[in-house]
Amino acid sequence: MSAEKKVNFKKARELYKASGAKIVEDSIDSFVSIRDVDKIYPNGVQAVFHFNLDIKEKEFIVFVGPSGCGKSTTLRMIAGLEEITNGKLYIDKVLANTKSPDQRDIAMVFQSYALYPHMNVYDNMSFGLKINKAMLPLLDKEGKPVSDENGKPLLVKRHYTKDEINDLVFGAARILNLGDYLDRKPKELSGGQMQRVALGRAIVRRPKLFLMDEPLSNLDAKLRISMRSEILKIHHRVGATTIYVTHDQTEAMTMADRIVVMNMGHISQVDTPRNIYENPSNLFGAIFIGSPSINLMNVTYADSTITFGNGSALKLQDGTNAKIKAFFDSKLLFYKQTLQRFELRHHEILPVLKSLLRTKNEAKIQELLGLHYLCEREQEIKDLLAKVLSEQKYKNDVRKIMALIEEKDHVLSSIVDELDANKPNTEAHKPVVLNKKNKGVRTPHEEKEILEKLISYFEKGYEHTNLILGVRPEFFALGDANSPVKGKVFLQEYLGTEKYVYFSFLEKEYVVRVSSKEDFKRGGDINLTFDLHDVHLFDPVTGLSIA
Amino acid sequence: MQSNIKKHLNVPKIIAFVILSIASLLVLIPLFWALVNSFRSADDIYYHPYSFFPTSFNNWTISNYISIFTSDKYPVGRWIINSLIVSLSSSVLYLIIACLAAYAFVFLKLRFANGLFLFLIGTMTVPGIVLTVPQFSQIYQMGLNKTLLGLILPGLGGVYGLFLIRQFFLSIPYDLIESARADGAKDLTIFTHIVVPLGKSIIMVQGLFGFLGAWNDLVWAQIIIGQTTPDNWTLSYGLSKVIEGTQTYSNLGLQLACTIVAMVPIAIMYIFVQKRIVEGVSMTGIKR
Repeated sequence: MSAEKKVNFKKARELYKASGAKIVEDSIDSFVSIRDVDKIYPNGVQAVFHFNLDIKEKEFIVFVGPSGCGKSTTLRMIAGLEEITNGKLYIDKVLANTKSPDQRDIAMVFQSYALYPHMNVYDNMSFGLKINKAMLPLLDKEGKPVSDENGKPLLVKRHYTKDEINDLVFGAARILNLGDYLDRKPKELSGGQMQRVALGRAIVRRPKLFLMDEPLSNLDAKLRISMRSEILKIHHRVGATTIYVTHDQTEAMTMADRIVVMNMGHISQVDTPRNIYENPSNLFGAIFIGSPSINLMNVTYADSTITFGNGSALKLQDGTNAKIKAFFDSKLLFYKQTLQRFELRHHEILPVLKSLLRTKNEAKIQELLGLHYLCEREQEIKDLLAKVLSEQKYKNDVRKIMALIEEKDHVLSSIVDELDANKPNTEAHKPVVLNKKNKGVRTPHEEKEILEKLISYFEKGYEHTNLILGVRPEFFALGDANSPVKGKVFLQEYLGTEKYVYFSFLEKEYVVRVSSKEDFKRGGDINLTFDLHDVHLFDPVTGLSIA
Repeated sequence: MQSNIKKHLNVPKIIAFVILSIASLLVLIPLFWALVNSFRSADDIYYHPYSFFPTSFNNWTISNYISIFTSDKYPVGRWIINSLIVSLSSSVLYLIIACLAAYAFVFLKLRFANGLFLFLIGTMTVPGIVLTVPQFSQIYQMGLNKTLLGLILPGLGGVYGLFLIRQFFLSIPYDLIESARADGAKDLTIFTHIVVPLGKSIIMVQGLFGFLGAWNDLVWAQIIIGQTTPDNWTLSYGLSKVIEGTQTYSNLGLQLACTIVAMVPIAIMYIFVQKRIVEGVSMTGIKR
């Protein structure tokens, strides 16, 4: 370690101690703030990519996504059970990256409930209270709180007394209807009761932040629905900020203030349930949220009109046309700029650096210092260049700069990774981008190739391009023989007031929700139309929503 | 009804029962013989060596036991205390060390933990007898030669118990540990409040093994305390001296009585721990 760094470290430690072992960021106005968080496991697999999220106080946030999308990993990073590889996590304005779970003031409910099998329900619920100190009113010898001269109770950091623990546990047991089971061991409880004990264990500690990792997925369907409202009731009563992880889109839709849809380690969309349902920002979210799933039909766009495979055409509104144009133009511009940055570094700066390895040319170094590198570590590169200029033995520093320049481009990687994340992994809509090799990490060269493909796609323009039309099952209306969608019914699901009719159209299967009074024959025709206000258009290559 | 029962005769079970009975008898008969003959006078054994029981009522005697406990040459009470000190402290100390080490191996995600553990397992291939001389020279240099501490220390580095306890800890769901962490527990709290109570049975078993090993140890005891006064002897070593002393006139009854005396504390221990050995740990607090 250089002398300079040592001094900095010392200073940092003093500052850290002076602020009460806290790094406070006052500019944050959200309760939990997750900034650019990555998770890369020791074996090189990246589970979470550039996760950014701000959570307001008392909000009920649901992370939803298919298994392996990184939602649990993110939750565990917030809990402190998993290390954060890159990025920052603030809880209540305090940097929490290096804090251990017990310093974060959180409570977590696990999918497996994780009740301590050797303790009864009371001990399970009081465990967290018994072992922790908290800021509590100072008690005199008779057990009454001591007040200061203003009449406010004096707070000290101490253990809970037995009476306080009793009050808290009995209070939680009353909320959760667990009064009769307090002396039972976990093995004597049913799944729903164990679930409630796990919830109780979390709420007795009155934490600032509740974390729930698929808490309902081990319960049967009926219990799950009743526990769903139970958890919401507790949330309204306790009022703690909650992050809830589930793979069940119904749970997400019914419980969340805001949903975070995740796919392949990326956030695909963050919004209220209603906005996500009505305005999905990409194909993945559109398919994942909503049951039955959205119907996706391949159409060709030309001259403000979309045409189905069977030739029937629909004229789009004027606004839509402009939106498609704007989408194509902005994407083309963005990808071109990214490619330029990449090429600048690889084809202009790298050759100069290579020549520097042979002979030191000060004019060239000055030239390099004047350039914009457009990458995160630009300052680092420039500092090194200044060192190259001033010192005699400079070749090692040049090599260091070359390594930095050749490093993965953060922006480029995230563009390419997000392409995967926007698209669902179903057979029909497989990501178009190259398959990931080598533990899911692409080389810069592979990423550049993908970028070039994208540019050539967007350069072709939007006329005569293929788009994907998304129609939710309830937005179809029954039509006549002139309707654009003419399908053959092959299955009906009767649900009481309504029914789902599955039909095939152009060799693909779709579903429509109709009133249960409508009658269809299996193998019979169904003619459907829809209002262009209610449908979504997606770009099949990037998976992004256009209009 | 009866034919029903006959039809359901479980032949493999019956065969297993017969084999187990014979095996148990083979184990128990010598023990029983030792117990009976320890109450038999030396002359009776000498004149009727093929008789299993004392030949007449008059030949039943407790003189063997009396001579063990009253002899001035042999302070048996002192030996029992010495043995208890050695056995209890070595087994308890070992449990503390091994449990903490096993906890670290299983629940703290340490770098190289697996490599280190494989290395430790590798040391099990070195026969204990090979280590006798280096261990003795070490104990001698530490000045613990001829002390009880010299009996306790060398056993604390054993790997087998660590392995046993680690294997059990591996079966504890990691969710429990994480849940305790989220509850605000630090590692030592998790160790004392969650892991040790759950591992109670295996810890008891290892404790019994350790106790037995230390109680019955003769070779090492001979090396360390063989040259000291009888006050420093352990029971097993002391009794071996008693037996040695009787070999000229072959008092088999006295020798057997010594064996029984050495066995009794173990038997009592076993009665207490046995329940734990059988008792499994229920993991139903976790739903998989």
